[in-house]
Amino acid sequence: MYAEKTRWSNRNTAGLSVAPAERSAEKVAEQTAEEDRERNGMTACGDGQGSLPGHCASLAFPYVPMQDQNDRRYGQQEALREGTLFPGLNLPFRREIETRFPALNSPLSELMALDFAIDELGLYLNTHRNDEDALELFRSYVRLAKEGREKYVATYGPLLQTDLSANGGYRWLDDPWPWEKGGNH
Amino acid sequence: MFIYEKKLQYPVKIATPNPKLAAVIISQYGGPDGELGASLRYLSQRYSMPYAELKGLLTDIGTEELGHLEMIGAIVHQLTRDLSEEDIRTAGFDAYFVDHTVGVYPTAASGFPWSASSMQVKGDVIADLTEDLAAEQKARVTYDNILRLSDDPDVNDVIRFLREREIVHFQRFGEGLRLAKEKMDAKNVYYMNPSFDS
Repeated sequence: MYAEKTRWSNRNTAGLSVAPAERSAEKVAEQTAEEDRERNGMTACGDGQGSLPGHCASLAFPYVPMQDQNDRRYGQQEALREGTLFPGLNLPFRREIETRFPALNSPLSELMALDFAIDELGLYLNTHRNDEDALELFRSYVRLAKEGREKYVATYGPLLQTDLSANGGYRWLDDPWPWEKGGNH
Repeated sequence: MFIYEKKLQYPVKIATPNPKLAAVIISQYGGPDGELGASLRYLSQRYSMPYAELKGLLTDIGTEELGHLEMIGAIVHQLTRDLSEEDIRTAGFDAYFVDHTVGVYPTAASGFPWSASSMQVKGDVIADLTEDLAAEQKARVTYDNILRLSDDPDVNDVIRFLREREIVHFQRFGEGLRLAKEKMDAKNVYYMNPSFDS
C-alpha cells in the first residue's frame, strides 16, 4: 500500500495550484471528517485505509478476523456433535429445531470424532501454522486415531481397500456401504 | 491421489423414508450452491494459488466437500428407500422419479442439472477466495432453508452438522485471504496476480 500512498501524495502536490478559497474549503472538509471519526470513536486511518473496531485496514478488501490461538475447544465427541471444534465458531441456526442423536458412542463414531478433530485442526493449522499447542494436539489426535483405526478394522472390517483382514477373506465388498441403512455403526 | 475410506464424516441414519424431502435435499448434491460445485470449485482453484497456506486450505476443504457430497447422497438414498406406489406419486418427487427412479443424480431441486456455470475459477487469489466466502454463505443459507422445510430429526441432525461446517470454512477462507494480503503487502503489490504476473 505504500506505493499507492506515494502516488496519492504526488497527486496532492501536483494539485497545489488550486485557488486559496478552494483549499481552505478542502481543509474544512478534512477537519470535519476527522471530528466525525473522533466522535464515532474511530481512528484516523489515512488514505487507502478504513476503520475496523480498534484497527485500521485496507479499503476495498473483505475482512474476517484471525481466530486467536488460545480459543476454547470442545472434546472430540462434542466437536463431532456440534460440527466444529471451536465453541466460538458454533453459530447455530435456530436452537429450537435442533435435534441430535442422544449419544454418538459406537466404535465407528469414536473414530469419526477423532478423524473430525484432525480435519478441523488441520484446517486451523493451515492458517495458523505456528501455533505449537494446536500442532501438539493435532499430533496426539493423529496417534489416537491410528490406534483407533487399527482396532476398528480388526473387529469390523476394512476402511481402506488395502486393510487386510486377519481371516484372509476379501472383506472390502462386505455390506453395508457407508451410505446404506446400518452403514454407520 | 485420492483414496476412498469406507466411512462417512458424520453418521447418516434416516429412520423414515420421505421422497418429498429428498427432492428438496438433492439441491445440495447438484444444485448451484451444493457440495459437488463446492468441491470442484476448491479443488480446481488450488492450481493457481500462489501460497502454500492456500494450496493446503483449498485441497483440504475441497476434499472435505467431497465427503459432504457423499453424506448428501446418503441422505437422499435413505429417504427414498422402500417407496410405495403412492410414495412415487408424491407431488415434488414424481418429476424426479420419472427421470432418475431412485438413483442419486446431481441436479438442483428446481430441476436443472448440475452445471459448471454455477462456479468459477478466476485464477486470481483475491477474486477466487472472495467467491469462496460467498459460496460458503450461499451453502449455509441453503441449509437454513432445508431446516425450515424439514421436520425430520434424523435429517436435521446431519444438515445442522453440514451447515456448521460452512461457517468454519468461511472463517478459514477469510483467514486465508488475510494471509494472502499480508504476503502481497510485504511485496508491495496489491491489485496484481502473484500466480500470473510475477
